[in-house]
Amino acid sequence: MSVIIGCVRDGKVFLATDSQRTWGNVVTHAETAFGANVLRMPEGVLVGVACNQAVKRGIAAHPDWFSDLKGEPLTKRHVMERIVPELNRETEELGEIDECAKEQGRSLYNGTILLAQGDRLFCIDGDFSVQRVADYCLIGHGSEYAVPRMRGFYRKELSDGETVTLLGEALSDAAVYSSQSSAPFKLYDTATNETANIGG
Amino acid sequence: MLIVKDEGTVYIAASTAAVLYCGYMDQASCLLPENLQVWKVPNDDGIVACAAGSGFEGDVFRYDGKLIEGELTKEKLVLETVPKLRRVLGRYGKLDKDGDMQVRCAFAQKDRVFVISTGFCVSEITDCAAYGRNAGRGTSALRIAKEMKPEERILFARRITHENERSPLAFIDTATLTPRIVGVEASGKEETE
Repeated sequence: MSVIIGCVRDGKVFLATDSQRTWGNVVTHAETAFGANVLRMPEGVLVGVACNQAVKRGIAAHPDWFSDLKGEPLTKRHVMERIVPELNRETEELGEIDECAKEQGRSLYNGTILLAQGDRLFCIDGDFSVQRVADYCLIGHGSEYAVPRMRGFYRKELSDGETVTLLGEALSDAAVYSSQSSAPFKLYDTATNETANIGG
Repeated sequence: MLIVKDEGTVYIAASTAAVLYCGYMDQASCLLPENLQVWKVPNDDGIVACAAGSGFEGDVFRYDGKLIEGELTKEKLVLETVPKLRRVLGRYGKLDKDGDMQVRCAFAQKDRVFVISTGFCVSEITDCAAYGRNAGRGTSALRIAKEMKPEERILFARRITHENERSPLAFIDTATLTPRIVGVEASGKEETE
């Protein structure tokens, strides 16, 4: 499970992530869109998926969850009423619900997801709750090591270039301590269809 | 969750602190209206609601105008709202093996407020109540602060029960029906944003 940082900027959202793929004690790096942590969906939606591969493939197989936006902006209501029920069903079918937590009434799926469109960013947490993000959000195994850099140095007044540098540094911080996160790092933004390497 | 009734209006307050299971979100996000644990039920019946303690239970119901409609009564909550809560939360695996949910919900309209416990018992609150961490201390604090204005009373109780927590509170009341943020300065003085 990799680290993904979502950052809301003026008119767009950056999603920065590492590219490591981990299967037990085997580590590779995703060089193709198929294995990436960030999925491009219809209606300009980027989906950052910090989950295992089965859940990621399950989400990738459902662009229909987003195509019915039909030009409307992504809202928390759409996420709660359209996407969360489908995600819940999908993760149940995949057997990705934590059964012990479910017995305690705290049904959790194994992961966290960021949804970005335009200048809007939402986080679907492990308990299926949804938070709209004002400034930034870090998810994934190892994200706690990246928090000090963002919390200590991120300011809205930074330029886009300074922000991208900071995102790369934060991902590097996570890679120092996390066995599931490593360079190269990738940057996606909702304003363009491009993917950039941002250091490491 | 802190509840006060004062001169025909019900005031409900909940924490704005939010923690992700696997991640971190900036603190400004916690103050966005759509993330607050208090909301107006989206219909024309002047009902406000609170689901304190978890983001999911509030999220899954905050857009449902049919969750509770018309005049707010205990009978309606028991016969209509509780079954719906059970059905929806059960579908998402949010009921434990005893069939209990993990949060308390409050619904208020004009001068009446009801709380649904984790075991789905419905109780009407006649004056004030506190739920969550240090609930006994909070209820007592609300009582002894009876002469204060409602918001001051709630903030006083908050200081007593959560001495080291600095995150603001989300307020809603049955007069304005609008969520608002009320913060606590480091000096202990209250200010309204």
